[in-house]
Amino acid sequence: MLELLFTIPIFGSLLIVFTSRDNIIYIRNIALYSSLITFFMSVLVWIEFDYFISKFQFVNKISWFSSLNINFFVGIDGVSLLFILLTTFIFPLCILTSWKSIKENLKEYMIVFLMMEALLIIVFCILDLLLFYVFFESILIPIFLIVGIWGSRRRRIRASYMLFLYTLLGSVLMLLAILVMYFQVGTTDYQILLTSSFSENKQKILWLAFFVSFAAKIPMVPVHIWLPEAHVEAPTTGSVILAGILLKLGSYGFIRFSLPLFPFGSVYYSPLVYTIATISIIYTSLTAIRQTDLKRIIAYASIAHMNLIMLGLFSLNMQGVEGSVMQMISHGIVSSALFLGVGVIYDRHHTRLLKYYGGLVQVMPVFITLFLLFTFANAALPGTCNFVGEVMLFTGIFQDNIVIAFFSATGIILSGAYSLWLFNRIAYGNLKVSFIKGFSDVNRREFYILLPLAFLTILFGIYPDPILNKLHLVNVYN
Amino acid sequence: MAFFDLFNHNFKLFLPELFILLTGIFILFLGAFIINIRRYKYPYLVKELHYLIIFIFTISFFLLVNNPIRNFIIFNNLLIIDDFSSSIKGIVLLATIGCLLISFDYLEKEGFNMFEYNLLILFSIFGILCFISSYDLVSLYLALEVQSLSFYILATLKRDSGFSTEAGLKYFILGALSSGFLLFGISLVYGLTGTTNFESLTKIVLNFDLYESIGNFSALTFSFSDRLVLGLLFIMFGLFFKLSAAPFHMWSPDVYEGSPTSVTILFAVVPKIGLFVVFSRLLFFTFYDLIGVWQNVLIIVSLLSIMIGTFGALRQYRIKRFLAFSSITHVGYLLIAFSTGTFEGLGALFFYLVIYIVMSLNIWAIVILLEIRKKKNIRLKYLTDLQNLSRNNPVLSLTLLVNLFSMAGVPPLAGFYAKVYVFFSAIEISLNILVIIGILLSVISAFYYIRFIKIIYFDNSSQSLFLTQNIDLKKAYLLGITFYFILFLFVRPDPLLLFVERIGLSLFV
Repeated sequence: MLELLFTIPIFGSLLIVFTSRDNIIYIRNIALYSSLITFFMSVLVWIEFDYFISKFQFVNKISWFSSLNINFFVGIDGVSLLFILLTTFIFPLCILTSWKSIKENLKEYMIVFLMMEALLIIVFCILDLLLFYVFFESILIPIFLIVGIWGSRRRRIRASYMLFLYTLLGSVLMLLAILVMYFQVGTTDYQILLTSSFSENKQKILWLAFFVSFAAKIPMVPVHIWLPEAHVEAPTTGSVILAGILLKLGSYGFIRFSLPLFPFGSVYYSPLVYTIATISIIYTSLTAIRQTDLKRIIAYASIAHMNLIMLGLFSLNMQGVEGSVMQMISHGIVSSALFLGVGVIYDRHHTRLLKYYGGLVQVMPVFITLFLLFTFANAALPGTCNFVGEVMLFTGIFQDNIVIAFFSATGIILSGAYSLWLFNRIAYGNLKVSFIKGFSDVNRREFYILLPLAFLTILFGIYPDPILNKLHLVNVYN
Repeated sequence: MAFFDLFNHNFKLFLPELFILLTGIFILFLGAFIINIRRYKYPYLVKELHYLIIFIFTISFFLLVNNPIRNFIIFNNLLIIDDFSSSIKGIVLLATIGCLLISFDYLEKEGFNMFEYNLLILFSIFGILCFISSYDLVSLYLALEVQSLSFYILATLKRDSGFSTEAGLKYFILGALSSGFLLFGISLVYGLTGTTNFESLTKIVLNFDLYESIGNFSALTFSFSDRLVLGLLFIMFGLFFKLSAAPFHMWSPDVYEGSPTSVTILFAVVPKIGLFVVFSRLLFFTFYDLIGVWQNVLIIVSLLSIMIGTFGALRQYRIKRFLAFSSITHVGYLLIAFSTGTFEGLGALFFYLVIYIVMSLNIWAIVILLEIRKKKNIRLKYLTDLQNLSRNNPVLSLTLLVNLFSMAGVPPLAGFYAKVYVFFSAIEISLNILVIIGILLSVISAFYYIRFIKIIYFDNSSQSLFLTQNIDLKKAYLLGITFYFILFLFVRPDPLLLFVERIGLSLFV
């Protein structure tokens, strides 16, 4: 079952390899349908998933590096199921988004995109630490190419360098940590690693190595510079994938590996995480307020949200951890939707600078309605899915540390500030006809891209159980 | 009686090398009496000779594979034929055939009408094969000289180019210096122990107390073991020179840049294999009990190689110099694996070596392919000349992209597994600092590989070279095979790993 999930996109990309470059319609349709089939397969997985078993399901072991006792071992629990669903849900939308906006090298674009989907699904269901690292890193290749080749401006090269090098520099130390763990346990099978314990001194070092790697991916403050750059320069779909899924790899790594494998290290370093995350929230929220580029605002906002998730994870209680997973999913939906929205107006006017926009509510009412919904969700208004996540997060953080809860809660106020101000400047005021001549509302394709996201935002805001009921047993198990 | 024994056993085991040597002599006569005679329209049969030497190496490969006797010491303890040397010889011959296949068109288009080229390649490979199975310091030195002398001449083969002459001269002078080091070390060892045979040396080294000797370098009274260590160090320095490891690397960028590209490929790929094999026989077998000494030397040399290779390549704008520095970096990583002194380290060394050979064959095939020009004044020299390659030749640039990511060590490509296995073996014996520095420097080296990728894919300039080139069939096959190897090794790395570990194991039995 799981193998089908990641072989379908690979198969699709192989089909595209053997399709003629000029046959644009076929290429688009193959990409769309293979990602849609993957989505339906993942829904099937969701249906067949049993919430009442607290172990990994759909497990399959393929012998790989058997002389070193490292095997290709896949399986999912509640957390990975959610992330796989998020991935397979967002990819068809991305392919629809790039329907018209990618003009050159469409064939290569679709190949790279489908390969990335396959790699992401593998990352979320792999249960071997070394192979997790392999696929975690190999996602760098497609995203590097997407930012570098299909990015918008000359600065994209710098952005792709930063994206590549920050992530690589962070994660190489994790490789060493994995090797050290291998020499203690004799395998990198995740379930066997769970049964072994590491000495306290070792945990301190190993946890730090993992932390550097995942923190660069989240990203936390000293190493966050690559994210706004990459978001701004990437094409719309690249930003959506970055914000919607790639950032989650870091927090997924924490929840899957750092917390269960190094419990002592997690407790020992939680003040460090608290400090860095709180600084990140306040600093990036303030930075988001004074940005003039649409994508930069959303990028900084997603840094703030991701750091809030980190706080929730390291509150180390059930509400905090569940809330952070809830928040990851809802952030995946909402920030993707915001980037898609920015992509909609960028496709029309080819600028992302705020000062050229204004009064769009008069000419693009449908778009502004949807955008308003996502802006409110970004500011965690009750009734949207972000609200559920943040309430749970703050419940968790408050139990653990009141001071941190207070400071990080300023992030909510600031998120209201930058989200609403962004919306104000786009939607209201005078139409700036001196800059932009023609206007048009969302077309049918764009509407159908944004509609499912809006639906899920409200659905999970009112009825979050589909997400949460997958998490209870997992948390107990961990 | 002993004379007939020579024919009964020794020559049979020596058959692959002997075949190369005899055909080399045959070609020498052929060249002297037929090819260079004006009556037969002067450059006569030269193109056929290229085919012929590939054929010779193939036959030699089959002779090697079909050799029935597995373990024997021949020619009065001068050479050893065992599984270890035989498997490595197979790799050397295959790599040489690969090099010759990709340099085929180049020779024709550049007008290399000298039969000496083929002859020298035959002799140098003969030297390398003897070098690999040498079991005595004298045969080691002699075989190394056969190889080096052929290479000096090969480097200067482009007589009308100043660069080529300079390269050959530099290579010759520094190579002679390194041979001097080597000889000095050998004579020290011989003077102290009275033997040059590896097996006897093993027994002598086994019997003295290492810890008495270390840190005891009082200037006037060198003890016996101090001088033996000194001899070993000189031998190692001589070999580092040939390997172009870091403090002894100065010749390599110039020689790579100046030599004809077909010869550069040979320099880059083939001799390193032989040197590492002799190194492992010398250090893992003969001087294994001096591990306290040579391990530290190897650690320092490997760190320096990685650093100089990495930071040197950052400033290079010419492709061949860039690749020279990149190969210095690779030598550094190979030496990390080597410095572990464990069985896993040896496995990691050969794992890396095989992957390195494949990657460099791939990248050099592309370089030599793009270098061939109809008009002689426009040729590929700088990295920036590769702009627009992705437009003109998407498949070739995809191959280059995958190869560069692999060299940078990005998973899931082959180069990543090579590096992981090296670090794996180093962590096993807790060389933590070395590994951390090595892995952080690998990120910097990733930077210059992705700069290469940036030039190919991201830069669009109208005034760059128009790099459309028909790929001939031989290169296409080789590129295809190496490309699929790099891309799909991760599907099943196990067979290769088992193969190299079997090689490593066969050194010890």
